Amino acid sequence: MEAPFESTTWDGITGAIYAGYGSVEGLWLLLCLAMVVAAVVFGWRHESHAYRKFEKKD
Amino acid sequence: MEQDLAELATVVAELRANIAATNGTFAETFYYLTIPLMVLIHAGFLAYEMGASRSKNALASGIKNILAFAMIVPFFFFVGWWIYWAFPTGLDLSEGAMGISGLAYANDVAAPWSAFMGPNLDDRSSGVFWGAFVLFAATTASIMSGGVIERIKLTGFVVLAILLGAFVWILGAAWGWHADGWLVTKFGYHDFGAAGVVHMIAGFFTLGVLINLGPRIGKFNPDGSANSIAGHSMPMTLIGLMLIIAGFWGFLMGCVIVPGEAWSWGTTIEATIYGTPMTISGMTFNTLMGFAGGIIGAWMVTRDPFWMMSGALGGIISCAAGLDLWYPPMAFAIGFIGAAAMPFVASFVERRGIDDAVGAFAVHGFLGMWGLLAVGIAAQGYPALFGEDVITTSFTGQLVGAVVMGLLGFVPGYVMSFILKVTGQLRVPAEAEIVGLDAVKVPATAYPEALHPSVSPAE
Repeated sequence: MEAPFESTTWDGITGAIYAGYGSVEGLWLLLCLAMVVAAVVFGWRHESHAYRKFEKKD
Repeated sequence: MEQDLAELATVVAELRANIAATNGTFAETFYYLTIPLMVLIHAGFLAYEMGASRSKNALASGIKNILAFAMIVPFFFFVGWWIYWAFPTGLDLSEGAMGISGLAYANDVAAPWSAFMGPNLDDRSSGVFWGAFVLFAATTASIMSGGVIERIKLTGFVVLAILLGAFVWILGAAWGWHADGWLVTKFGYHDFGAAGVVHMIAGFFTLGVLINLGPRIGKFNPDGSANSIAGHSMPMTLIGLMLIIAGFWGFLMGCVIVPGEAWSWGTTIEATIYGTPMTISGMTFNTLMGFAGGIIGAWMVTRDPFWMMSGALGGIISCAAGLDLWYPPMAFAIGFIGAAAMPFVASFVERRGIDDAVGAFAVHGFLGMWGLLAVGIAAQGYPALFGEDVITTSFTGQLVGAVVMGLLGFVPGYVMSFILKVTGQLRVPAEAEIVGLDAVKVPATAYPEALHPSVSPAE
């Protein structure tokens, strides 16, 4: 990933300046989504495990 | 002479550039500041819900609230903002008369890979507008969060929060809170402060969820009579409600379009989201009068500090749709009437066997509806849009809008919670509910030096 323009000065630079603009947005979006899904799945497992553990203890 | 004119032109150009830079910074900062103000709403909801929970569930309620806010942010980036610009004219993705809606426009300005969805030196508005809308979205989830405390599964709740915050309410906003929205262009629907598109949708969504979720253990007796389940900290709840009200000023700021920018409706005066002229000053009269009317109305019928503070919120919600238009005593009366009716609506819901732990439906669903209808009753005949020969506000338009907002909230809430219910993902096991969710699944203790909380069902 690199700057979306080739320049050694900010003079004259306009428009989108974020890293990876026009090239790798999809990859980062998928990664972001995967992280959220993974967190929810782990959260769901933790919650289910907590209830099962509690039921056994009870 | 020619040299003087050239110098003058240069000076004028410089002055114009300076004014544009100053106004641009003002506009950017204006919306930026709505965000920390609206974060107060979430600080408030956090305190409110934790205080309204019994101490055995205080942290579980807090986790639920914090997580809903966080989950909505990425999903609103992925899809919510795009929905707002794609669907104003309906579900066919066509462009509206203002030229700021439809598939092509949404893809250009709001697709998550758009040049405007990140740092862009030519765009000083997308991020702050998106941010303000994220906070509106998180508010919808927080509204639901209060009603379902102490028995909902966290992951089931997260699914519902994402559905409400990143899909459902924003579709309502596209239809009724956008200058190309079909409810506005075809029916003259007016909802300046989001009484319908935020409060009513969230309240009705919550009602749909509550029907499937069921009451807390011990809430109802075998004969159907209800027990009062007091939260563990009324002072925390009251402070939370006051924080929500403080945050409301940021929420209402976010409903204003400032002048002087390329995307503004004009160069001289603030406007609503529909392009109709308004002033923040005028809105201030009505917000405070509605706030006061709400407190006094609720106090008159309950004498209860919880309902008084809910009445403050309810008074503003009652006036929200027409905050740009009311004569201030009218705002007081509308807030007073709404807040005085609110506890009776909460009792009515309770008598139906529905356990709405904080009265979320009564405060947001019912009063959001009342706010929409109040515009239809008392503020008919105003041009509903920017431009010439436009449709005017009417009771019919507000009624149609209220029906749409109610259904748009209730149906997805009911259907999704029903799916979660039949798949066993909606409600915690009874044993865990009785002991308390903090002890079962939270790796921290709310009050480690306090006495152990009661575990009897209704305490």
